[in-house]
Amino acid sequence: MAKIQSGRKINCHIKPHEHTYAFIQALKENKVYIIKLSKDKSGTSFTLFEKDLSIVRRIRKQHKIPIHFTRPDSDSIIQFQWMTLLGLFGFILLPYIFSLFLWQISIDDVSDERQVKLFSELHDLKVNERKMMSKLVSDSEIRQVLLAKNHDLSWIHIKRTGSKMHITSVPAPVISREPSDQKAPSDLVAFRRGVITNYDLTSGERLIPINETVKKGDVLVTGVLKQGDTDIIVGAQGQVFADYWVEMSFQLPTKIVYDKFSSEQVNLFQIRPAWKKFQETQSVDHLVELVKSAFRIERQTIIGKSEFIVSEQWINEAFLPMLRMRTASTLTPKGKIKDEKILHITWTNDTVKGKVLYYMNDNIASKRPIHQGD
Amino acid sequence: MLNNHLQLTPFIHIEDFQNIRVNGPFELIMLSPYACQLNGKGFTLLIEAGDARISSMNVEEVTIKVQDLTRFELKKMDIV
Repeated sequence: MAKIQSGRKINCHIKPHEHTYAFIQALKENKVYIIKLSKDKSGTSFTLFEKDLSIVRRIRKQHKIPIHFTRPDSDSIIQFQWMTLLGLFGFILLPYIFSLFLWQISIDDVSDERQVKLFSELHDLKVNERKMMSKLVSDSEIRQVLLAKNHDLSWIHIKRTGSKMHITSVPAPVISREPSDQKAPSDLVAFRRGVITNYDLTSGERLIPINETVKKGDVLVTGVLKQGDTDIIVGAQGQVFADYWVEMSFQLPTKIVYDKFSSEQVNLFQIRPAWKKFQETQSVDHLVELVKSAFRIERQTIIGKSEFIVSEQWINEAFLPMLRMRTASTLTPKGKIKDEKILHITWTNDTVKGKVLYYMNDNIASKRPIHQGD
Repeated sequence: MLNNHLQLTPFIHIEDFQNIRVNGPFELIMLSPYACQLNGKGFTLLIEAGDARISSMNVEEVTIKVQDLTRFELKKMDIV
């Protein structure tokens, strides 16, 4: 007896035909295993294994018999066999297992050297590829360590997408003040009125003693040194700090109205306006417009108006500190605001006006090239 | 109905009259819902029943499932 191999079964149906028995006989002689062979008015039906299908097709051609094949299990997509279940299980489990690991680290930096340095620093933090995500240190810790080791960076963006980690470094802006030509020797001249408090010079000779008032245009430091009768031009460099007052005035409406994003409206299938136009005049252009309108998606941002009434408390607690910060941001790094005096604040129906006096200490020296003749 | 195994010829085994097994080279001559006829080794086997169905068939063996057997005939064919 032939050994029955497991496999998928196929139902065959043959309509009444004179060569039916010869065909079945040929199948039998070609070792095709036939199951549930029966015959009725509509024809002959039997079942066979899928592995024999190629033999059946070959014999069918020889006998020129039409056969209708159906799968008894065609309505179930997944075959519940061990291998299928194992594959399905792997299909779900393997991606899950792989997603637990970090597979790719990429660093985006303008300098290749620093990129290598950042990689080695990540390595020191034990942030490596093929490592379990749960065992990695937190993003904030990575950022903290990298920023501490790289003072020329202002921020580290860490973006994790799936099992990839992308690090982008943001370099600190290079602050360059006094972009004036360093080669041309110059004097230092006061560009505003003030009382000299201290000098911070690298070259040049002081002309004005401390605590003396200077006007705009006074030479504070000379770049010409006298040695006997000869003048040696060295050029003055550095900063001269002085105290001075600056008056700031402001004017605000008492009622501030601002737009506030509240939601977004998405309109689909806006056919009606196009349909009306098409009904009015039935032209090709309107028809095209009608078809287009069916696929058009309109996004509309809905903005709500928000009102804010300015109060005295808000002026004192929020606005004035803000103004002070804004004023302070115009100073050099060593400059500071020493005092602040509110001269007046006037409230009218719809506006509030004010004047604030700041007592500041900052560099008042600017360079003026020394005229050396032709 | 015979419950014991019955071997009628070298190629016919009857476990009971619902399952008839035929061994050896044979040829399916006729099959209908009520009858089945096989030829082989110079014999003709004719089965008539309320319902006759070949439950499996391969080169060496055929198993016929029979319900309400009415006729079971084994004839030696004339050698021409």
